[in-house]
Amino acid sequence: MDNELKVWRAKRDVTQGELADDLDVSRQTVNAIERGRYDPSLELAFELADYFDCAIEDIFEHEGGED
Amino acid sequence: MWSREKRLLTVALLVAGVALGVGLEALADPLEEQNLAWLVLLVGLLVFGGAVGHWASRRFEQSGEIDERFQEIERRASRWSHGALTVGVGLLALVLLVSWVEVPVAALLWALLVGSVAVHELSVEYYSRRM
Repeated sequence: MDNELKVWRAKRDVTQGELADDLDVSRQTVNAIERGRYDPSLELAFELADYFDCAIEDIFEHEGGED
Repeated sequence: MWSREKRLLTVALLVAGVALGVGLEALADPLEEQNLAWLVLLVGLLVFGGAVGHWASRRFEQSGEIDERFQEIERRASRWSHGALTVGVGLLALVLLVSWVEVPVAALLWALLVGSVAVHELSVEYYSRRM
């Protein structure tokens, strides 16, 4: 699953650590999501969307989506 | 993921637990004939270990370090260690059932136990780097 988390984070000017603290996850988890090594749960994806006040699809894109 | 300091703290707690167990065993030696004392000591150690584990887990959860990714890593690692332990015990049981070879069962069981812990730790390290 591709994602634009790094872009959204840069837009809001928040660090990985700040985002991690606000979402009660570790900084390593935020880093892993950004690097595409870890796909978050639906719950965390919703929390991220809420945090950036956007839709989940704005952050995450399923590879091979739009079929 | 766990920092180096927290891993060291965990190992230190483990060593302290083993030391406590050895110490208590030495203290309880005169009571060896009284099975009740042993039982109380064993239960006490289990409760103590459980309480320390629960306390540490709560602290890590509150700090946000035990999150869903960590739990996923733990789940995958547990699958490997559980599998290794099951295969090991199964092989040992097979050898005991179908062969006449004398094997040191207790030592092998301990080795399997330690081995499964090692497999678990290695798996955690592997998945932490991959995820």
